[in-house]
Amino acid sequence: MGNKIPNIKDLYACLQCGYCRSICPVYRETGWESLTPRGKVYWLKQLSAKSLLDKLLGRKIEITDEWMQKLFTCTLCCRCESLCHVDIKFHEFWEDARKWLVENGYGPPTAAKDMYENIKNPEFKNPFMEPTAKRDEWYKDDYDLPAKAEVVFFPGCMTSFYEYQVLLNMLKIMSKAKIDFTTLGSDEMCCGAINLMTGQFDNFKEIATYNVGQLEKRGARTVVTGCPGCLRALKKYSKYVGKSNFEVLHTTQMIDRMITEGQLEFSKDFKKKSLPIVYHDPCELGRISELEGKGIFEEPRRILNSIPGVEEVLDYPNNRMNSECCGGGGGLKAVDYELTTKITARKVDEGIELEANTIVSSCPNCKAQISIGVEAKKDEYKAKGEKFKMKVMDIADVVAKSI
Amino acid sequence: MKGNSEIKKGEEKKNGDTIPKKSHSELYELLAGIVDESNISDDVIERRLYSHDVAPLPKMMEMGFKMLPDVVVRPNSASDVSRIIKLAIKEDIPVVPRGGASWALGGAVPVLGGILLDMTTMNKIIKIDEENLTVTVEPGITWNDLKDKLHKKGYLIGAYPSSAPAATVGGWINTGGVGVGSYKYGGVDRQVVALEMVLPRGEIVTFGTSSIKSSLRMDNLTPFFAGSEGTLGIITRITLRIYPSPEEIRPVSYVFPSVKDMCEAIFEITRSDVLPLHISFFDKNHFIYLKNMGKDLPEITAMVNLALEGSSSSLDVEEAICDRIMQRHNGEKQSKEFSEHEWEERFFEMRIKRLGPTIVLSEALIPVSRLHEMIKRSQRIIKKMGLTAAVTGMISDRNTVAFMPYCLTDERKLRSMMTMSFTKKIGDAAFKLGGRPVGLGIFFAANIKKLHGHGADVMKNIKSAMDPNDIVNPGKLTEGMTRFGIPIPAFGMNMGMDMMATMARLPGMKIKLKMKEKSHAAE
Repeated sequence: MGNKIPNIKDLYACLQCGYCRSICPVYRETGWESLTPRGKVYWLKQLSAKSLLDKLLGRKIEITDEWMQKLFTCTLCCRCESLCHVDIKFHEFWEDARKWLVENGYGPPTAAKDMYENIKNPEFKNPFMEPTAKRDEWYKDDYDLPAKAEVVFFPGCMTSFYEYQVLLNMLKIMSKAKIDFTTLGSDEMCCGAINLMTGQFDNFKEIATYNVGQLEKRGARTVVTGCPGCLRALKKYSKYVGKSNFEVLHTTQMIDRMITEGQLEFSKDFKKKSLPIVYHDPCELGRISELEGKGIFEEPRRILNSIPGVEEVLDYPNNRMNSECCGGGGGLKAVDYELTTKITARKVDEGIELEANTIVSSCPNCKAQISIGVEAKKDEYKAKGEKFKMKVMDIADVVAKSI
Repeated sequence: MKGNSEIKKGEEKKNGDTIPKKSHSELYELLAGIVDESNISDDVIERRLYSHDVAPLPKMMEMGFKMLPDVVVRPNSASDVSRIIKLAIKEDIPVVPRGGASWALGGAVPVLGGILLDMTTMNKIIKIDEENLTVTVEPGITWNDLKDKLHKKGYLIGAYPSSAPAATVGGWINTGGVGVGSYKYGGVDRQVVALEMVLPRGEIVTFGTSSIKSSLRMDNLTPFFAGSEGTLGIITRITLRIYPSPEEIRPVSYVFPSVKDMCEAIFEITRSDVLPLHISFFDKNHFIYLKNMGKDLPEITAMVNLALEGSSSSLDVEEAICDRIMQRHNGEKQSKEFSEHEWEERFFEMRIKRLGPTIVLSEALIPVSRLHEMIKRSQRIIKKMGLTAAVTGMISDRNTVAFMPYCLTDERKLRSMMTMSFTKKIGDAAFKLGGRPVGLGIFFAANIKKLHGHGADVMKNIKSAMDPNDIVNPGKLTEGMTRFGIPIPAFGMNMGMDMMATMARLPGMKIKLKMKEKSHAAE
């Protein structure tokens, strides 16, 4: 084994109390110790303390392919950190552990490797093998965006290629508010969040250098993104390429500012039959951002509450720092798709229990994932001969509908 | 598929990754005839994760005990459990039940390998009976989960362990626990009104009644199984008492200038009209360690946390009585925020582990009247052995203290083994003061003779009458046993522990943990 296992102090500090088990979405759906935070920590500790004694006692302490897969079987929602008895910083711990594995020649899972290669490939510059030209083809004919602007909107791969409705709505909002903005168009490259979460750190600096270069070329003073994954990655760029000239904001922060400064006026009521709304805190925007400095919890709620026709915004029973993952995080989809749908089903069920008619989040991954859950629920009801309705929206979708 | 790919037969492709075909043990194949394969694992890494509880035991232990189970099974019903036990009898292999594995005495750790039953799959609430004020649950539900779900319906669970987020109902019954709420409502044995068990011959039996209160005679054997450490059968269903939710739970904390004052105040509370839900205490070192971890705390020599429960107006009266008693013994009342924070922290008493990073926990029951003497003796032991240790505990009824000192050490250093004898020494001190150590588990099974004399033989006879094949959790409680089936003689274990305690006192054997703020061993 080459490098030393990271965070050894945490491996020993772990009490094995198992509190993390009780809130781990992966454990909840699978039930095996090997898929719990404490189980993963325990094995890492065994690996770190491997000695001659293990050999003498016939204790097989090794990294198997299966175990590597298990370490990646996690949504990186980091709720474990919120209940950890000994304050392990899991939002760093899991990334470090995956990085360590990859650096030592184990993993990552094939799908994660493929995504890494696709991002590297100049034809794609995104994990999904989509041609670069597709990034802005939704809007380039309708919007005459300037070559340079104060604000650069960085939609991210998920929004650019799949949740383009969110992208179009955000463009609409910024135009309505008369913001001087532009995008990187087809020059945008994946932010590199996937590299960080799958332990493939080696070219993150290159990605950061490229994107910062593109952003600065356009004179960005503010970079705004609707994707919490991009938000966290963009904020980390300065650590790799030095201080840049722009601040990084999430779209909800930007919209919240627009509303308080009177740049945005609402003219239409939110559809009555889609009420009430329940807001889901995306893990990366809320809890993990809080663990990294400042979580974004209130801005999205303030925005929703200012929409005409919306009288009350419901909360999930576990919200803000305790928000439960929708299943779409951590690159788990690439490791065990079926498992993510089980996690999502709970999120939809909870929405039904709350008698909500719309689930709103502020993350394209959450929107995509919860939509999958709603579709599955529709099929389930259909099989029973019943109808099921639940809208899934991003904050930008809600705002755009009311202006 | 339950998301664990290794147990599927044949080679499969999953998101582009090939998972190699696995051959399984004979035992695995036999179990596959009982439960779905997604609920069985013979993977060596998986099994290793089920070979321990919160106590970090040295690898060396495996020379004496086969802690690694041969297979892990997750049953879904009493009938699954019954069939597994019958198979185990036929194959002559032990069955060890496991809940949250949040105990530290090895009750759920195999000593002879065998089939490990992970009971956490059975985690449902079966019925909340509002007419008879009971709740019927499966054993694998955690206390926190149950507590929260009952709270939503307007009910309270009498007592729960301070490890409630992880501890299961079945597990805590088997440790015979006392915990948060026990002062008012009694230990777990007092909460249980009916049990469904799979006995060691495989028969499914129900004890007690879930509707009308049973008297404590032969028609209700439920208390008999509380604290049996899984040696008399597998609990598959439990009916517990519930209580209407109070208007308010009000935590109040008091700080004392000396341990003596604190102990006298506690004693007086136990002789007063107030009946708090919970009473816990901590010594100076506990707070010094917390401060070393960067927690913002005032200077505290000794502290008592009370939680009062009831209607707000009655709590005003109770609080005033407590204030008077505490003041008489120089107790200084803390702010509401501080008290509430302490109450929230009741599940996080082991935060200090980070300092060790190893923590050795001990537990003993002692009379309330001897608390001060017990603390003095413990502090002497701590000083003599040169340990980094603190004293905490809770009052479990008007006469009993659940005394829970802990000791910080570093398992990476071989000499940290010596600190295991700390638990033994605390147990000895408890015996001397008319108390006893709690929980026998693997290491202190030898104490049963000391506790009960010839009574221990009766217990052994009960065990062998019920479990003639010694199938269910062998090597625990009534008889400590090594992997070779040789029982650990009581005097041997005790002598070994005493030797370690002596060695710990030798120069160079003391483990010094780096701390900014120094702790004080004695008052």
